[in-house]
Amino acid sequence: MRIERQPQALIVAPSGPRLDSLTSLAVKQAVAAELAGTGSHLVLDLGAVQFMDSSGLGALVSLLKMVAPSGRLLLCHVDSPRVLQLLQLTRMDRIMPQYPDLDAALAALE
Amino acid sequence: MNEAQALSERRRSEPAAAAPVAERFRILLVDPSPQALAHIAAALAPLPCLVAEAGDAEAALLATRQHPIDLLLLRLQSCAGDVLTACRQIGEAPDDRRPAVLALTPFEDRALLDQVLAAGVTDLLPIDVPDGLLRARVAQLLNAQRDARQLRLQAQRLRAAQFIARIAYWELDLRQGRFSWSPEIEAVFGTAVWRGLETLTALTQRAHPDDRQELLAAFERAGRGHGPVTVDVRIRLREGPELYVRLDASRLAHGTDELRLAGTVQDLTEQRRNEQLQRVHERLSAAYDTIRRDLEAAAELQRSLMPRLQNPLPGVAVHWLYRPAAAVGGDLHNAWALDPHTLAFYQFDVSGHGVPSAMLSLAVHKALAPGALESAGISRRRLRAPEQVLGWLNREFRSDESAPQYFTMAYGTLDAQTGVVLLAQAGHPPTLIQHADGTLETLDEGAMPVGLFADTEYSASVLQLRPGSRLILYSDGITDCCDPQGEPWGMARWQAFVEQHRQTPAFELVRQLEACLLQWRRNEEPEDDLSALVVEWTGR
Repeated sequence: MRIERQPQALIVAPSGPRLDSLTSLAVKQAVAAELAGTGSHLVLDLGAVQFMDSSGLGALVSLLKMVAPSGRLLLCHVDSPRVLQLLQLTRMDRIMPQYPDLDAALAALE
Repeated sequence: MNEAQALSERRRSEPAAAAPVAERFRILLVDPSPQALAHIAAALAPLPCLVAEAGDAEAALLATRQHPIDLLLLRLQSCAGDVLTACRQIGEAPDDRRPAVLALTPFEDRALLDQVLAAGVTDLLPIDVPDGLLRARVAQLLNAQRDARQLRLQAQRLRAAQFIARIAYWELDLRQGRFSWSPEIEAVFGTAVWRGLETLTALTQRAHPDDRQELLAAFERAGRGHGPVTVDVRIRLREGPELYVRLDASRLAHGTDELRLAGTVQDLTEQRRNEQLQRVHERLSAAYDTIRRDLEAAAELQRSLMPRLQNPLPGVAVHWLYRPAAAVGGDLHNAWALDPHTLAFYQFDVSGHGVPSAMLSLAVHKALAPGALESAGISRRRLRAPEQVLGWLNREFRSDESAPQYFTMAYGTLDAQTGVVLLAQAGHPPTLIQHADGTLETLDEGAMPVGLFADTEYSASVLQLRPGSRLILYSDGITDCCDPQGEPWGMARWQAFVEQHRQTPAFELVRQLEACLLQWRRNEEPEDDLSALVVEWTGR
């Protein structure tokens, strides 16, 4: 997992191909430790993620609730069709805006 | 003198029946006179020995460096300082390589005799000793060498055995209360601290308070002659962890040592730790058995929640696949008659797996159970409005913010008289609608799963079934079911499967679906719950 702090946002990129109950816990813990009530925005880079299950989706919602209300959660590099389908099916695409790359996501936060 | 001359070795291979020496030894003869050397060698010929000869001190040292010898035989006519120096050097070899030294000297030369004795010889004979006596003495010295070697070997083996058994020997003078510990104590316990325990008082103080009385009682019993007495004690040395030791004590019965105890101390720490691990393992096994039995009971309970009737209403048939990944699963479904012509049906999939998911699934099932709603003051009429059911569940099962647990769901009603279906979906995989003519529709209205966000609103779709149409509700365990290479079965294969089986009766369809998925996994257990609900409307 890659964690990077930029002035606009905290950037977290899970490194494994699966975002499931095992891997999402580490992401949640890392973000919780880094954010710790800073109200910062969060950009989640899903470039490496090929599969996300219900626990992974639950983790996204946890992250969203962690940054709320002052921060925003943005996704970038959502390339896997399966992950996209899941986000659409559960309408998460409506509340977690997606950008083709990190620059576009950061620009959206300007 | 070259080496070959200095060390002409004569092999004596024939066994000497008369000689008591039982194995082959090496003897080195030292004398400047070749004739004398030849004479002694001939005298020793009946012994089963290898005899090497050296003319001077230098050749003797070279020979002993090349081969360890058992006996050095010096023949000294007069004072030969360098030979005696070489003799001393040879005598400084380590125990297991040190030869016996036999000197032949003229006994009347007292000064020479003193010098020879000072050089550390083992034995002396007059220079004109008869051959028979020389042979006998040599045999005696060699046998003594052999016995000493065997004793050393036995001692080595004993030390090794003590080390392996982690056992050491001690004696205790009861009058003074003082211990003497054998040297192995350090090898066994790997510490010099044990040496600090030189008195019974010191040992008792180091013992665990709960063990002290038993320790003293055991020593007292041994002192009264009720030996051998065994006692296990926990000892804490100055450094390091607590040790479990076993002390065996007996009174020494011989001589005047009536008040001496002797015994062994054995380190049982590791053995005891293994026993403790074994006990922990047994407790864990018992706990696991309890959990397994509980899970089996829970699984039985969950299976009992399946739809009661395959034909809850005239013209309606319900069939399903239900195969949880663990003993219990997070998927559930139901179908029942709301009234004489309306069927309610649903399927949901709780996030995560296993017991936490199963517990929420039971709660959801219970909340929707026929009869439960009335007692909760919810109008039965609302069960006819799928979007309202999802909205109500979303408020009822709002999850904890830190650990969201939610479920995706499809809930619908079917009017058995008209074939009209109202169906609401909450993040659940697209429902398949298969008609009798083979056409396949998907209803993929996306919506938030239930329990994530308080203000979620749901909507219902209206579908018109035709006689012979069937609705197929399923969880993502079907489409996400991966083969051993990680390739998911996927929506395309699932739809193709349904289309291929359009003539297959619903009860057979779900059976073949399970077989097909297990084959896809090469018979490995699925990682997610597999569940599907088929609602078939035959029409009037």
